[in-house]
Amino acid sequence: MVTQSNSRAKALAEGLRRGDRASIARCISMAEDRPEEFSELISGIYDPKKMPRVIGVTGPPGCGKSTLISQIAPLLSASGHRLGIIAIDASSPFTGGSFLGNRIRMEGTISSGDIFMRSIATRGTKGGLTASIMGALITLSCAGFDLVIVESVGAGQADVDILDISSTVLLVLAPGLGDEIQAMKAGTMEIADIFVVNKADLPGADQSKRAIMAYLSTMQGRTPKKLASTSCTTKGGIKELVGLIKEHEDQVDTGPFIERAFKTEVNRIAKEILSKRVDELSGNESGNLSSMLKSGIDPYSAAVKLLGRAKRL
Amino acid sequence: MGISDLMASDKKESLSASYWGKKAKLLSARASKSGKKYAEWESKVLAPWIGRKPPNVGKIVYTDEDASGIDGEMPGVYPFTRGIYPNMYAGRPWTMRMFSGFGTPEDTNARLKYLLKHGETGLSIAFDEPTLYGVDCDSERAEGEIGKCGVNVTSLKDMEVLFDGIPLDRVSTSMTINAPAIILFSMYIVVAQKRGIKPESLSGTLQADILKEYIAQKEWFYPPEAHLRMIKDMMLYSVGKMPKWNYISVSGYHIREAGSTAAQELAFTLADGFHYVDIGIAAGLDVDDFAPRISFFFDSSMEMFEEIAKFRAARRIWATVMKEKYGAKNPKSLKLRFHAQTSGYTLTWQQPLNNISRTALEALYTVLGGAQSIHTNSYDEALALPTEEAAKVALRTQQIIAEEASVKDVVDPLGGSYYLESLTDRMELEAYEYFDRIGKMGGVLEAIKRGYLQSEIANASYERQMRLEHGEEVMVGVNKYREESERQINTLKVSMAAQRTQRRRLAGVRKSRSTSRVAESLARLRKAMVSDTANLMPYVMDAVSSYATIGEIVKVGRDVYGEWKEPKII
Amino acid sequence: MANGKNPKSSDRPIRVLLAKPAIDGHDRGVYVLARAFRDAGMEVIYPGLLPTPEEIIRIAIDEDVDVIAISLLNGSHVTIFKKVMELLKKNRVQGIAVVGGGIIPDADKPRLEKMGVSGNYGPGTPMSEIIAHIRKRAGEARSKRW
Repeated sequence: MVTQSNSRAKALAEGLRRGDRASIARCISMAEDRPEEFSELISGIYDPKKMPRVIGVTGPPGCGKSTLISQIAPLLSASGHRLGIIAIDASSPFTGGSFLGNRIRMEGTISSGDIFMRSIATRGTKGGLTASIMGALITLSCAGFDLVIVESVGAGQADVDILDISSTVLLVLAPGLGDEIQAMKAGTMEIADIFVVNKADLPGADQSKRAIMAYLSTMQGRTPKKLASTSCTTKGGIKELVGLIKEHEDQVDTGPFIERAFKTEVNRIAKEILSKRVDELSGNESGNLSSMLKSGIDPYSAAVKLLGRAKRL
Repeated sequence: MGISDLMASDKKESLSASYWGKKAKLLSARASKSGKKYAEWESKVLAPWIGRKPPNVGKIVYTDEDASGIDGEMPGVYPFTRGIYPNMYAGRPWTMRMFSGFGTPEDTNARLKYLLKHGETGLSIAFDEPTLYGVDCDSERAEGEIGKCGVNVTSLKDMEVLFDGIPLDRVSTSMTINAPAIILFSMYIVVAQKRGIKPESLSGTLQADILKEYIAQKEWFYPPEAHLRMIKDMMLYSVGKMPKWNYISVSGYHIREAGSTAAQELAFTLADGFHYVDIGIAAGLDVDDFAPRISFFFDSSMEMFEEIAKFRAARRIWATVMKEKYGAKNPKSLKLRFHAQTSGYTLTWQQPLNNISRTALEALYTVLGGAQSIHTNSYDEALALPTEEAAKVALRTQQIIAEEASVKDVVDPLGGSYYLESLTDRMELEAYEYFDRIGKMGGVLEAIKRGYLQSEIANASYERQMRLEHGEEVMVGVNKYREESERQINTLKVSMAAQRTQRRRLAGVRKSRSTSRVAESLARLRKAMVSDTANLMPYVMDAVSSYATIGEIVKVGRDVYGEWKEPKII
Repeated sequence: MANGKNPKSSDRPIRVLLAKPAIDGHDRGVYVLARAFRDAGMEVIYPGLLPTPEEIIRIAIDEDVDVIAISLLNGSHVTIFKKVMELLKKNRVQGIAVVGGGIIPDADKPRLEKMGVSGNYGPGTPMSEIIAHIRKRAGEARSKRW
């Protein structure tokens, strides 16, 4: 068994280094499912020096994130980057199912060249990212990708985790929806490096821009933030936005970024592993909780006891 | 200035949005009447009769408490709820217009002649998917799809064959040509001109309503703005040159077939219609110059009273809005004329002969609802395009209703029914509520771009499907009264020979036409497309005359306008 | 062990690519299927209208799907399925099942089955039947792929 998974991990790693699409795809699936051989695979392919830069794209539903990515992706790819795209959609908390429809807007512009796109469902992870994102980034890095656009769920409220892994964060807003107000309330305004007023051909765009500028003027002591306005209908502002992204990428210091990403992701992954282990232990595995219930132990002490057992991961 | 001030000023409703809101409020006030009479009857008569408290599933009888009544409303009189003409079918029966097209232009030409011989009174042409998506028949993409869902037309040559021997100055022709509308319309005019028939003597209808494509049927080449500009150009051309031409048939049929409710069909279709009125006005036309030639196309599905109420509400809303909001004065601008087609979705692939009954019922509703022309589906259409025999049965179904059922003699025979009037009012209210929501969203185009209308339809369709799955709704032969082994019926097979014929003809066209003339006409067309002011009609007519193919013309458009991808709707 | 929380590969949610490759925009059916599949716990990848067979194969590989579910209404099923199956072979893709549905005459079904396209459900098929079939094919496909 061990030898079989061993050779499979090796074969996959070789496939990755060749840039084989099926191998990349399978490794990302493994990052999602984490079968036994995954840890072996990931330790074999991880190289901190090769980790890709990440452009995080967030914004409320309907603001046009996917369309915008479909417009900037070919330009970034053409400027010499080996580009990956990861689009995240929410899984249903009830059924676990998900509708992954980001390709609807992206097919056509991303299908040419060597862009690799993957749709990922959150599978229960909150915060706009998924626990598999690191695995996916490591996979892509091994296959030679140096830049990855990550489209977060975009559910608004708690969608701030994108900051942890991105060197540049784009917050996309559409005029007239009151998006700015919502974003301010949710705290997502603060994570953005570049604000993008998309659908700038719509009435109300100027007002949205003014609202953002007014907001920016109140912020002090932070990295200067930039404002772009784009229209995917007229293609206006797309080149300028790509320019801003590159400018920001040149300025941003990757040191702290990598450190932050490493720390937060280790924290996230550890929590998730622990949480799954707790789920297992409190499930029917060995009648753990039922026997505790019978013993008359109080719930708090029971929880501590359970965690004690969780040490064996 | 604070941010909240800025935001507040942005929330100002536009004038038009508030018109819809006001109407909705007004109608909703009308709807909330007491209900004392029913409550009393329910407790004193119904409850003792069934021996328990009646279940709360809605009224089972309607009274004067439920309907605003149509006191004083008469057919031929504003707001035309009861019919747009005073005598309706007593004066002239509806036009029997059978949608047909398959295979090669020769195949369809023969079918059209067959239907005319059997008493059809107007033509209606169905084109195949490669034609409707602007794909030339010799392209790899068209492989296996040529002539399968309609007739294939790639160049003017095909159009010449399609209408060979058909008197274009005497029949009226309806063409379902959405995305390539401007191209096929140009071909039709050019074919007529070549035979010495002037545009002004042509009569017919274009199903060119692109908004409903983005909403429901999903056939387009370019972003909506580009197609809407072409509709404007066709409108301006027809208004000036073709007085008998309905340049746009605003279509609810596809919206309904995509799974909407009857009320959504009504609301979204009329919202589209008003958008076209806005386009005409923005183009500098007087509303009374172009509104009379806007026509409509609705679905007729299985629920009798809902369908009839929908047709009546449509007329009332159109007349009211055209008068109140757009200030139309010409009575013709206020009259909503519509073509109706029985529902394809209600046809079952199981026990297909049952479809004859369904179609007959649905066709009857359109007559009771006052349609101007009707298409009846063939019983075999859940399986394939209709055979000649099936198409004839469908036509005969209309003839039986017209000649045997005595429904032509009295206008709006169900008018005054408490139930029907109440349903008509309810449909009307629901439509205004949608208009209000769409208006607040920034209009129908923005609602489409955000996927709002599409997702409303997808939701309705999914709910309906789940009711069927759970047996809460019944389709006979599908989820009830099923049969294990069914007798097979004969269906029409479009052979690959159609593809070969079409490709051979196109090869001939490509060889015999003047390459430089094609290139020049396409270059002129490109220039006109880039300019915002030119009317594209003469340029497209020039291009089709040079035997430029549909794919070549669409490519020019894609270069200029780009493509469009639908929004994510679930 | 729902919600894909279990690390065992057999419990990974089924990934389905739902595609409508013909030149045909009537998408009522695919949206009903998409929701039904999602509600059955599957991850549904929908690439929009009119993907070519080539695009379908590329997406299926990149998304590491278990099943490609193709809906065809307009009589072009034989041509298109043939192309899809040929491309799968050409790209040496193993462990992705192909399931069909739409307007497919009974007479054509044996031919499609022989190519490896199963299901071939017509209108009115209960959703539960289609879902059960997809689950079965996904299980088989996965055991070949993993």
